[in-house]
Amino acid sequence: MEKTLDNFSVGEKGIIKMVQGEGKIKRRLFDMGITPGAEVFLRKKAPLGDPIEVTLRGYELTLRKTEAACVMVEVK
Amino acid sequence: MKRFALAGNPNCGKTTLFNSLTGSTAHVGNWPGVTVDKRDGVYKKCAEPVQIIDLPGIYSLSPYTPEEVIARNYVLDEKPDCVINIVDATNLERNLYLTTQILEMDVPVVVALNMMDAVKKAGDSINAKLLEERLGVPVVEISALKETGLKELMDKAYNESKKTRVGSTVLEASPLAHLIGDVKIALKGQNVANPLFHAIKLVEEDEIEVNMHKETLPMVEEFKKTFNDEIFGSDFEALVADARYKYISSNFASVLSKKSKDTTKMTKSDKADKVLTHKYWGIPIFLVILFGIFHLTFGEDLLFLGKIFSLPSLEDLGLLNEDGDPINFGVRFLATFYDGAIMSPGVWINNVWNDLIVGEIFGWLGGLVEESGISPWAVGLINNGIFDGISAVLSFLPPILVLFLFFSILEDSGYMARIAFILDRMFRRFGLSGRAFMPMIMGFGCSVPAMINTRTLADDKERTATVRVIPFFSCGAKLPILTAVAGAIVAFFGVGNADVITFAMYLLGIVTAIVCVLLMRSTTLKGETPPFIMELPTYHVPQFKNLMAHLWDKTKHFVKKAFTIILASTIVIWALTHFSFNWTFLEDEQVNESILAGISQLVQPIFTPLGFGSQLGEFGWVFVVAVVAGLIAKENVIATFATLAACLMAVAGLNFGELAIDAEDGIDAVQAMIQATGIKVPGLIAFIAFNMTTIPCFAAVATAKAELNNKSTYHWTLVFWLASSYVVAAMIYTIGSWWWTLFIWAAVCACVVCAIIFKDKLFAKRK
Amino acid sequence: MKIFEIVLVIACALFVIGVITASIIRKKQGKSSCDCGGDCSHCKACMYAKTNKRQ
Repeated sequence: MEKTLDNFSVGEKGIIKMVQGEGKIKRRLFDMGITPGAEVFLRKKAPLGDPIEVTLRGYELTLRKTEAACVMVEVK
Repeated sequence: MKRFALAGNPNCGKTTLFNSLTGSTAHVGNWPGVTVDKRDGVYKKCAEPVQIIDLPGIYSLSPYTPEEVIARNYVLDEKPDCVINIVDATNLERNLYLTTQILEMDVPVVVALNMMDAVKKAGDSINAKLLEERLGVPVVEISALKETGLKELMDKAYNESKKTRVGSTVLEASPLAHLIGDVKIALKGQNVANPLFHAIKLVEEDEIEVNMHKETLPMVEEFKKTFNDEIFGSDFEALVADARYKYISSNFASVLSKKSKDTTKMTKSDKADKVLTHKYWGIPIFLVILFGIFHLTFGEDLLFLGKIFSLPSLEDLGLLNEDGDPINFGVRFLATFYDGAIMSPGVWINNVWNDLIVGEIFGWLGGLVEESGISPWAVGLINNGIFDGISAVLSFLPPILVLFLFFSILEDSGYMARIAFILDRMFRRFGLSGRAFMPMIMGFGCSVPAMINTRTLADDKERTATVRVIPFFSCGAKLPILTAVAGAIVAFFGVGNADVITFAMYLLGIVTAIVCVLLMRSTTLKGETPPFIMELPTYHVPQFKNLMAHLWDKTKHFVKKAFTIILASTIVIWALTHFSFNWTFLEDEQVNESILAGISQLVQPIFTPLGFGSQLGEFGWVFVVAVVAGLIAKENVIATFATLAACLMAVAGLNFGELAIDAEDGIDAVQAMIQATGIKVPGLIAFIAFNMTTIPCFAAVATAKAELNNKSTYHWTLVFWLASSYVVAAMIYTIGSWWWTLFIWAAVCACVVCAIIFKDKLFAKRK
Repeated sequence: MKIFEIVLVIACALFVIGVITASIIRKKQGKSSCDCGGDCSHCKACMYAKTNKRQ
């Protein structure tokens, strides 16, 4: 099953399929290691549910739901 | 002299390494983006002295924020003799992503595997030999913190710097290799330095690169037409990034052998995180921590034990004589931390410093001067003009340092970055990203570095808004104003509680900042809410050495300031209060005929709506002087009070009754002001509020000018500061004096909000 | 006036003039107006950037 990263619930894991979004934001996501094939794990959500914290490539990254919506993930 | 540049991801320990190599004490903190500008130092233990350049952290060589541009430009344009690429061994994959890009340049590179101690502690291991083979450049295991492997690193770097290196790329194996090769040959024909690097960036359509090689672009487009990938289509940016990461995971995964394969295992850091950033408790915990810090710094009744158990005061214990003084030195020392309540560590340190050290020394010096038999005016100049000002400023060193220490601990432990995470949702409401929180909280220390730190913000409008509100986060120098006035209110009017007033004033600053950001972001600085993509560092116990370095930096700064600019200002103020317009010398009692009084009385009416203007009568001008002196440095406000209080006390008619007033003490000086002018509590609070939100000190203004790099934005910023402080102070004064004015202010606010919403709707319709 | 008093007045005047000129000179040299005299880490970083810009 595929869904965008912002729809994940805490504890879910998946493999990144595709990164959309525009220009600078996409560039930044790539640089931070959000590329197809990488494994992500939704570690937690901030109070009020946004932003979210994910573990990928062995480190912790935080991003907002709006940015996470650009990331298509295959749920494991 | 050879130049070595330190490059690497943010928060991978570049500055720690820089400090270890050069013996500097540059600011280090546990969150990405502490260093926002390059700095240099000298390493002396090589065959010849080497210049070391510390660069801001970068995730890739395609910059995103202004500070990242600095790092990229340095490596490309300044051509260092060797690039030392620091790689955080605990986070190998993402760090090597940058390494693959650095290797594409024609520059000698040495990779430093930092934080090897942390890797070994976790039971993992890294095969540095294998990594070296695969990367093709020397790899050295180091720990910047424990200073291991540094000598070897520098020797290798020194050796490398003698050689020349031609760039190599990991994209060789990817389908893009051919395309890149073609562009590279074309660029080489144009005699471009680092052809490989530029070729790849051109293929990636990097913004800066495209602007640099406009003439080559059509050719690259031509080449690209022949290429089409089945997954990514013609998204070359994605193609390149993907190829890099693919190469890294397939080639370097074997380098790292992990003890446990489970990525979801809880480490200590995760456990701490679970509590501190809890879904419901995260924000309350943050507020409690913040209040705790203020309580430990300013609270005169630790944990409210005195109130709860109604502990006996020193007087009840019979330890004071008839005059209310301690009976012996032991009691005097006891009084520094106990009097009917146990005092917080901050207050205790403060009392020891002020009552036993500064008070004694300056008291003794003052006595010496008085007995030396020189003319009274000379005694006045030395004691009131010089000593009172300096000691009043120095007396505030302890609370500043204690507060700063707590903030340093928060910063060093990694909690700061979490606060950005917790607060992002709220910040977004105000049109900022959680990232803007870092410079703001740095503002509690000093506005100057805080404003420089706004470089970590990617959006220009967000930067301007943040720079403008940073002074509202009351800096260390404004603290004396707060504590002195709050202390005087408690002592003179017997109302309130000093730490609550101080805390409330800090909150007032924050609220003002929020309101102003909201206003700006919905009117003059409109724009999309900037994205928030940030790495969260691992928690660690703060380094003692590091904390002390921070404190030492701060102390040096403060003391230097006290003995230069503030001393000069108090001398000038003393002179201006002791001469009349026709240059005749005035006694203390004639202070109202002085030059300073004459000038300030002209300006005084402006401050009437704020509660410290014309309504204060003949001595009201002292507050005007303090405000103006504060524009030079905020410490000056209290120094001015101390100098002026000495004059006011000499004026006949001032009767302090039971109060023992000493002009050298900031709180007492303010009490003298209150007595002489008859100012009321609302006026005093308005006075603090005005000082907190008005134009900051010279240094901060100059920094704002440099950081805004646009003349008109800068000028509007000055206007903004004046306007905001005037409105805030007027609001406090009027509401505090006549409660019903609250409704008038509420109505005005409602009108402003409606006007903005209405304008927005009109604008949207037109669109 | 005694000698000491004259010296005191001159010293004070010189000090004030000194502080003012020193800050003006610093400004002219393009150094920061932060009062650390360029000692703190922030100023060092900033000065470095400025000298580079001029080159």
